[in-house]
Amino acid sequence: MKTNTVQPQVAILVIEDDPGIGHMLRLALSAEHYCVNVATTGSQGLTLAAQSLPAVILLDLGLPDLDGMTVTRKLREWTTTPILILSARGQDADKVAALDAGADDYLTKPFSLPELLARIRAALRHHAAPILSSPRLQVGDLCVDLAGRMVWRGGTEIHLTPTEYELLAELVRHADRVLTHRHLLAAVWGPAAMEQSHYLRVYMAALRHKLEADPSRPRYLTTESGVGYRLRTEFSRGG
Amino acid sequence: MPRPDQDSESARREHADGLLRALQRHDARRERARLRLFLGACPGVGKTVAMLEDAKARAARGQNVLVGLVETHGRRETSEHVGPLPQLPRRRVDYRGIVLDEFDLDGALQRRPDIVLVDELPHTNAPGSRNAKRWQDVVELLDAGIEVWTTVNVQHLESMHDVVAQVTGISVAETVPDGVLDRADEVVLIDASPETLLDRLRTGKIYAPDVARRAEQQFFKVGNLLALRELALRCTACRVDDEVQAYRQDAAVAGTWAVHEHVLVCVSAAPTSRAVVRAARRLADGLKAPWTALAVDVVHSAWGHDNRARVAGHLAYAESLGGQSRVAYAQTAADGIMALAGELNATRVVVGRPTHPRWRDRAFGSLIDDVVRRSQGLEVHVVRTDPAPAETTAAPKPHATDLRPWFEMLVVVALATVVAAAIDGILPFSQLIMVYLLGMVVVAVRCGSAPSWVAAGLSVAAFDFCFVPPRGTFAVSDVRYLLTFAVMFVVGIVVSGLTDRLRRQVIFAQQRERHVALQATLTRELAAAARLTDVAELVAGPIEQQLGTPLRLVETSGNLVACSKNLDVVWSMADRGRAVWSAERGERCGRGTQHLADGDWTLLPVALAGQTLAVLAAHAKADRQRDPADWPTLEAMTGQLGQALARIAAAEQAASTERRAERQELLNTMLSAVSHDLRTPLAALAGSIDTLARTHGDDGDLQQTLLASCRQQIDQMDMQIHNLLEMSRIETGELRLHTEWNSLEELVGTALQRCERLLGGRPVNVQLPPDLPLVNCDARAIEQVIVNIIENACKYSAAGQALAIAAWAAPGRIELAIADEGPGFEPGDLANLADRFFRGTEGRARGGFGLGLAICRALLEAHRGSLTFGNQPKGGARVTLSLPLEPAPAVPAIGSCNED
Repeated sequence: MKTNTVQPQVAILVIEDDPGIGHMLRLALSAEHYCVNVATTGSQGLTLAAQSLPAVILLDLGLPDLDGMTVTRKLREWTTTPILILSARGQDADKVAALDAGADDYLTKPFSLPELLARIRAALRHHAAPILSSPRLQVGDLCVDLAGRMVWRGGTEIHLTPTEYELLAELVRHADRVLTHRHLLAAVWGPAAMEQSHYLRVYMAALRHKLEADPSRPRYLTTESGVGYRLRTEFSRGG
Repeated sequence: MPRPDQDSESARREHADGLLRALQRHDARRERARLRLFLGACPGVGKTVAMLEDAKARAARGQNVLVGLVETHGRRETSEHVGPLPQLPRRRVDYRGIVLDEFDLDGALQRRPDIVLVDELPHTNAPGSRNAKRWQDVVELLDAGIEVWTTVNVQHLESMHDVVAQVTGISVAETVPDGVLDRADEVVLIDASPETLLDRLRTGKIYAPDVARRAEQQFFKVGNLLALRELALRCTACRVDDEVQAYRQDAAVAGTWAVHEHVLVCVSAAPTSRAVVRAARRLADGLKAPWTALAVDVVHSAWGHDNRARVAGHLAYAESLGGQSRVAYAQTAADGIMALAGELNATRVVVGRPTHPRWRDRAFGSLIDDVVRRSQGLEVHVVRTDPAPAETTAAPKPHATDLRPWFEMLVVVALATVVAAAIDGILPFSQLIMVYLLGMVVVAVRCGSAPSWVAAGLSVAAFDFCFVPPRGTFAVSDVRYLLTFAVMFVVGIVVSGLTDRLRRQVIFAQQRERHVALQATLTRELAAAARLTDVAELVAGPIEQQLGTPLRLVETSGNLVACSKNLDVVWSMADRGRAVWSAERGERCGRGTQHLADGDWTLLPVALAGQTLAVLAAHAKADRQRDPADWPTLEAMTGQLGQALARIAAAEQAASTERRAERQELLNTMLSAVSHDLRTPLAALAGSIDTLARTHGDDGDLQQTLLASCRQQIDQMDMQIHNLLEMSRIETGELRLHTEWNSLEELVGTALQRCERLLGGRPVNVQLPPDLPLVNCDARAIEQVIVNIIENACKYSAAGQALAIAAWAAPGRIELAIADEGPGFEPGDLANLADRFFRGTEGRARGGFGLGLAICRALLEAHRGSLTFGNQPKGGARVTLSLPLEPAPAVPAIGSCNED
C-alpha cells in the first residue's frame, strides 16, 4: 500500500514532553518527508500550533502543565486540524475525555510506526474531504449506500433494522475514525442515552453478525476497548 | 532504736527526692515562660509605671520587649513612660455598636517577643473574644513560651475578695483566680503610703479631677488605703514564705511534712455557694492540699432548670479557682458526700452555714447533722456565708413558672368535690373524706410536693364549705369537726409526702438506670466497633438516642467523622476551630465550660494516656446551660471511647504492619523475577543490535530476522511490564472496577486483536452462541484475563497448534473456556497455578513472571467470578473462567416499534 509519490511538505506538530519519544517521532516522521515541530509543554504546543499552522497535531497525554482535554479544547476553539492522541495504558478516561473534546483519533504507547503513519494519512485524507466524496462506501465485500439507505455484502442486500442502519451510517460517515461510546449513543439514541453503553453492545453485535464473516474477529467494525468503535476501510500489513 | 546507717539512708533518699522536685520545678518553669506580677494595694500606686521602667531597662539590654497593652487611664505621665517601647496595635471589637479596644492575643502570639507587657490582669474581655478573661490570655501566652509582665491590685485576687469586701465594704466584680498568682515566678510589690496616694489623687495624677473627687469620697479613704496596703504586704509576705519553703525543699532542709490532706466542699444552687467555695480554697491552700467541689444530685425535682444552671456555675467557679469538680448521685446529700469522701480519701468537709429556718431541719433532718454524725475521722468545717448581693450566678433568663401542675391540682380538687356531692346522702358522711384523700394522693403523684400541700388545704376548705353543716359557709356548727379537719389535713400531708418521696425515688432510679444503660450500651457496642466510622455511627445513633442530646465524633483535625447521621447538624468553621483547640490542649471547651464558651456544642477530648484521639461534641439545647448531671456521663463516655479508639488504632496499625510485611515479601519475589526475566530479553536485544551494527547492511535477510526478533522481545517485555503494573495495582488495592454491560464476543474479539502478533497465524476456533447474554463487568479487566490465558496457552503449546475458545450460559453464570493442544498442566501444579510468580516445571525455561494467571484470578475474584484449570480428555490444557450472570437491562430501538 506504500505510496511512493513525493508528498508536498506537510507540517506535523508533536506535543510530547518525553525527549526520547519526541526525538524518535522527529526522525521517523522526517524520514517520511513530513516537516516536524516538537513542543515539550502544552502551552508551548498551543503557541507553536498558532505559529506553524500544522496539518496534523500529535498530542501526548500527561503533559507537565496541561491535561490533554484542556489542550484539545483550546485548539478546537480556533482550528479543525486533526488531533491524534498518544496515550499510555491506563489513561482511558483522559483519552475518552480528549476524544469527546474534539480529538480525532488515538494511539496507545507503545505503538507501531506503520500504524501511526496510517493514522496520520487517514486523518489528512479526512480533513481534506470531511464529507464523503460519494454517498456510497465500498470496503472489501461490504457496500453501504447512504443515499439509498441500502447495504450489500458480497452482492447480496442485507436487511438492517432502522437502529442498526443509523448506527452503521454514523460509523460510515466517520469511516476510519474512532467514535466514542458517548458520541455514538448521542447520535443514534439522543443525548439522554449517553451513559447507556449496553445499547451499543447489543446493536454492534447484531451488525457484526449480519456484516462480518467472523463476528468474534471483526474485520470492519472494530472495537476500541474502553473507548468506542471504528469502521475500518484501510488495512495495514497483516491487518 | 534506729540504726545510724538507716538514718543516713533515709536522709540520702530525702535529699534525692528534693533534687528531683527541684529539677521538676525547674523544668516546669523553663517550658512555661516566666510570669512577673506587679502587685499593688490600689489604683495609682504606680504599678504600670514601674513595669514600663523595668521593661525599658530590659529593652536596653537587647531583649525584645513588646507593650501588649497598657491602660493609661488618660494619664499623660503614664503614656510618656511607654517611650520608645514597641506597642502592639489593639484589636478593635464592635460590640452592639460600641467599639471596644482589646488586647490582641493572636497578634502577640504571632510576634513572639521575649517579654510582653499586659496591664490590668483582672480585665474582662469583650463578649465574643476567645477567652472570657484577660488572665486566660496571659495563661495562653505563658503556655506559648512568652514571658509576661502584668499588673494587679490586691482586691482583685479571688481569695482576697471576701476580706476586702468585709474591710472596705467594696465588692469588685472582676477577679483573678489565685492560681495565676501561684504561677507567678516573681511578685513585685509596688508600695506607696496612703498620704502619698491621696496627694497624687488630689493633684490629678490618678483620675481626672471630677472622678478623683468621687473616688476620694468612696474608696480613697485613709482607712481603706491602710487596710488594702496591709493586705498587699501580707499577700506578698505569704509569697515570700512560699519561696522560702521552695528553697527549703530544694536544699533538702529537713522540716515537717504536711499529712496528705484532701478538702471536699459541698455546693448547691444557693447563692452562698461561691463564698463556701472560696473558704474551702483558703483552707486547702493553708493545708497545701488538693480540693474538690461536690454537688449531690439527690432527686431530680430538687434541681429545677434554673438551679441546674446555678450548680453548674458553682462547679465551674470551683474549677476556675483550681479545684476539681464532681457530681454525685445519691439518695441523700449526706450519702453522696460520704461516698465521695471515702473515694477521694478526703480529710475535711466544708459546708455552708444553713440559711433556712431551724424548723426545716427539725422536720426533714439536717445535712450538717447527718454529716457530722457519720464523719468518722472526717473534719467538718461549717463556714459563715454572707450572701453577697453582687454574686448571683449568671443564670439564664428566668423561665415562666410551670402552671400546669397547679391547674391540674385545682381540677382534681374540684372533681373530688363533684364526686363527693354525688355520693353525698348515699354513703355515710365519713366516706366523703376518703374521696378527698384519694384526690390528694392523685395530686401528690401527678403534680409534686408544693401543689399537694396546697391541695390538702383546699380539700379541707372545700369539704368544710360544701358538706359540713351549716353548708355554704366556712362556719362550723360542731367543734368536733375541727379535729376531723386537722386529721384530714395531716393525713393528706403525710400521704402526699410519702407519695412524693416515692415518686422522686422512681425518677432517681430511672436516671441511674439511664446512666447504667448507657454505659452498658457503650461497652457492648464499642467492643464490636472495628473502625472509627463504626464508633461515629454508634455515637450519633444509639448513644445519642439514649442521652437525648445530639452527639458527634470529631476528628482531631476538627472535621466530623463521616457517618450516615452527619447530615442534619450544623457544624460551623468556628465549631471546627473549637474542636481543634480542645484536641490540641486536651481540655474540654465550648458551651458550659471555661474556654471558648460560645457556640452550641460542648467539646470533650477523647484521650488515652494523654494522647487525644478524637473529640466528642455534645450539642446543648438552645439557650441552655449544660446540665451538670450530664458531666459524669459524658466523662465516663469519653473514657470508654478513648479506650475503644486506641484499640482500633492499634488493630489498624497491626493490620498495616502485616500488609507491609506481605508487600515486602512480594517486592522481594518481584525483584528477583525482574532481575532475571527482564534482563534475559534485554541481553537478547543487545546482542541482536550489536550484530546489526556489525553487518553494515551486507546481509539483508539476517537484518530482517534480527529486527523481527528485536520486535518480538520488545513486545514480550511490554506485556510483562504491563502484567507487573496490573499486579501492583491489584496488590495496593488501587484496582477500581468500571463495570458496564459488555458482550463476551466483543471482549474475545479485542483480546484476539491484541494477541494477533503473538498468535502468529495459529488457528483459533471461536464458538460463541449468538444469543449469549451481556455480562456486567469491567471490559478492560476481562479482556486482560482473556489475553493472559491466550498468552499462557501460546507459551505452553507449540507454534501452529490450534486454540479453541467457547462460551456458554449456565444457570446464574456465564462461562468461557480456552483450550490448547499442548501437553496440558502437570497434575501436581494444578493447585498452585494461579499463585503469584508460580511457573510450572516447564515454564521456568520459557520466561515470564508467572503473574499472568494470578492477575486473572484476582480480577475475576473482584468480579465475584472464578477461574478453574484442567486438562482435556484428548490432551491439552483448558482454562475456564466463570462470571456471575445478572438480568440484563432492556435495550430500546430508536423511533417507532416497526423494528424487526
